[in-house]
Amino acid sequence: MAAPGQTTWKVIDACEFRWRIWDNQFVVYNPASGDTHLLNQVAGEALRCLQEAPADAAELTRRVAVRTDIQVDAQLLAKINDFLDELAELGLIELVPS
Amino acid sequence: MNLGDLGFENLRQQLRHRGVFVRTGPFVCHLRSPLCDVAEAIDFAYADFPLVDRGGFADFHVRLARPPGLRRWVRPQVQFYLDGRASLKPFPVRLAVPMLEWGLNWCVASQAHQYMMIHAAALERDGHAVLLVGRPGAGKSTLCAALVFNGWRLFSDEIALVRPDDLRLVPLPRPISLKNESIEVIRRFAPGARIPWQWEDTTKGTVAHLAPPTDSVLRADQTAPAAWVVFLDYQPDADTRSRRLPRGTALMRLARNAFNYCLLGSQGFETMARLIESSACYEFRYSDLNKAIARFDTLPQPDRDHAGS
Repeated sequence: MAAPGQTTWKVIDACEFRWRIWDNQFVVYNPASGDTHLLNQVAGEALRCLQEAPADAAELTRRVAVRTDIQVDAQLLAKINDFLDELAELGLIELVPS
Repeated sequence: MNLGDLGFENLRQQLRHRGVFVRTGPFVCHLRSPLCDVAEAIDFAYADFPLVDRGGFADFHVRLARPPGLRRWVRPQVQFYLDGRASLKPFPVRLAVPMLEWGLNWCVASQAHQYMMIHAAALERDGHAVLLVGRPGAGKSTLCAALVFNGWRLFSDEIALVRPDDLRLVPLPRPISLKNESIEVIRRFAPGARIPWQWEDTTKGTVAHLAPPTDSVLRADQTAPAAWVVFLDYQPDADTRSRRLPRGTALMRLARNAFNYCLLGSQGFETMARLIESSACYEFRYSDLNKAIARFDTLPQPDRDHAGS
């Protein structure tokens, strides 16, 4: 769970994504927008984690690290933060109202 | 009865009046035109196509004629009518035949949404189909024509039709549209190729039509599963080179080349994804047609489990 005061993200409610995962390429189709996105492994796993439960960047980084076998460090956290911005721009996720 | 059985004068008279009903792949086209060069081109390119009589039913009722008004006489134009409506911007009358082919493509691409339609050439050999995908100038029609002269069956030069329920490709053989340098390339490559006319100064440069092979027309009801998706890149003087594409990359590229991927929504995504999963996807650069054909001869046979049925 996100710690109090953290910015928590969730997938946009109406999203019922369709997925294909091929060799660390994640393809996600968003029926709400009709858009298809090609994501790398970290971004793809981050979005799948948020589909399961909202999280802030730190919590999400931990979850992604478990799934990808990548060590939790500042670099991964920075990547996750970038991806969160990108996924929000793509209309896939949004902030949980505080 | 095939269109060629009518004889030219009879065909010309029918085109001027009630029209002819021709089966092109899964579609019935009702063609009418008083223009002599259109009649000649239809007689040439559609001679092997079956005529059908379904009590006036057709998927597309097409008429090519000069529009009314001044432009009938001053710098005369030709208009493409679909179901009685002027449907495309008029062309100079000398481009009536290219307009017929572009218009028929437009009819299919704008209406046949029971299929996923991909801007690609499609061919079949030994029961497996290949899609040739590429931007204009990537060598799609040129390689398609060359493969047709080397044992591949023409499904389509321009629009690949994929049935969403079983992923089978549905043939839509029609004339292959060659452009600019590729016209002479194919004339040299296949001296027997029937390319009687060419039209200069079209929006795509010089255009010529290669009649579809008789065998491809006669077997237009025989579908096939896709086995290979090949993204072409013709580069003058380039070595022949192919590399396997990751599926995600291939899906994104193929989706960009589909006419109705977005319109089909989730069904479009699922169809596209299953098509990619059942095919081997390549990026293919070439300049030499003979070397390209040799490489296509060695495409690995598809995994039977993934080949569809």
